[in-house]
Amino acid sequence: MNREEIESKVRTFLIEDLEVDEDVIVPDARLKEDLGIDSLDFVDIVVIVEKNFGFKIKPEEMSGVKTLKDFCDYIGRKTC
Amino acid sequence: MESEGKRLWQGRTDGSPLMLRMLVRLLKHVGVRAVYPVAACFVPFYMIFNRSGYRASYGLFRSRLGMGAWKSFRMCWLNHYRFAQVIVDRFAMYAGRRFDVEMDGYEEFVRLNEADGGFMMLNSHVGSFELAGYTLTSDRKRINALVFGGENDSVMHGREGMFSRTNVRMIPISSDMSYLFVLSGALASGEIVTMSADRCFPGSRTLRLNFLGKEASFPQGPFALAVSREVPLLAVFVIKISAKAYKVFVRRLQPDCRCPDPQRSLAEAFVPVLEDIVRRYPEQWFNFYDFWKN
Repeated sequence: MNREEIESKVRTFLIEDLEVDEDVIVPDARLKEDLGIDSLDFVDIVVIVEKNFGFKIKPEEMSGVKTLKDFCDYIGRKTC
Repeated sequence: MESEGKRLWQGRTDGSPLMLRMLVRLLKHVGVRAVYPVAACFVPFYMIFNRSGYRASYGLFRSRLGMGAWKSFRMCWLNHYRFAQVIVDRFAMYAGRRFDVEMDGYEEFVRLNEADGGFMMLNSHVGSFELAGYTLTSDRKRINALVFGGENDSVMHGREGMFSRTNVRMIPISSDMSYLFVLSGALASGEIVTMSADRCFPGSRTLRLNFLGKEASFPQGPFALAVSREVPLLAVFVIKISAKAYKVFVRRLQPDCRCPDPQRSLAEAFVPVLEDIVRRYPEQWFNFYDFWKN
């Protein structure tokens, strides 16, 4: 899966499943502060990532993920 | 006006570590019936000096359950006393004592335990849910119990000792949300997750639902987890029915399929079950804060 596909899928589930405002979805957006993703959204994200990208998120791997770019990088590393 | 901090759950068993350790030692040699009168002596002090707890308890009986002033006061005393008894019983278990347990609806647990896939057990601060951790055990599926991480060391040590003999893993609540990944992963692996569905944490999302005639906040998290993982839900309550016996109530939650919001639908299925238990055993409602405050 290439970078564009990852970003497109992430963008789609942020808008459709988590109802994030399209305008704030930029690479440097911080997941919690800018996109408003809270603990319950993370519950959904875990399941969505499993379904869309085919791997399980491990909590320790998410500790350095702060921005949308970090998140896409993380998915890229796991799916390459 | 009462501060938000006071309203929120403190989550920690009272008493110094030394006192709690001494209680466990004492209960190795004497039965709970010998300790209950001592616990009863503490009740008036709690009623006098923990005013917010007293007001919350009194308000439950007077406003929510419609009892008269005198009966509400007596029930309030009984509520505090029953809480003290349950705490004593908990430490008696840590000391190795056992209680008789009756089951109501156990077949629901067996059915889900024997089926493939994970499921969730929701509890509330009614009676003593911790006892379920020693009775509703499973050889097939690990039970992941979400617990308050800041609990007293003596309590955590006692729990660890008890749970080490069962297939139960304690997951402490943490501020970094990592426990959500663990719980979600456990359900995906076909394990059992158990957590409280009546305590809201600061900043967490809640659902406002009618409970005993007035709207109250319930945490959205447990229901969101069940919906996202598409797992069945049980409500489990463990009620003290005599000095040496508890009764475990297990109920399968059936959401209304027509409801457009599945999380709310599950929560709406949970609340009447909780309400039924609280009406039957009101003196075992152990949320000593204004539960109905917005």
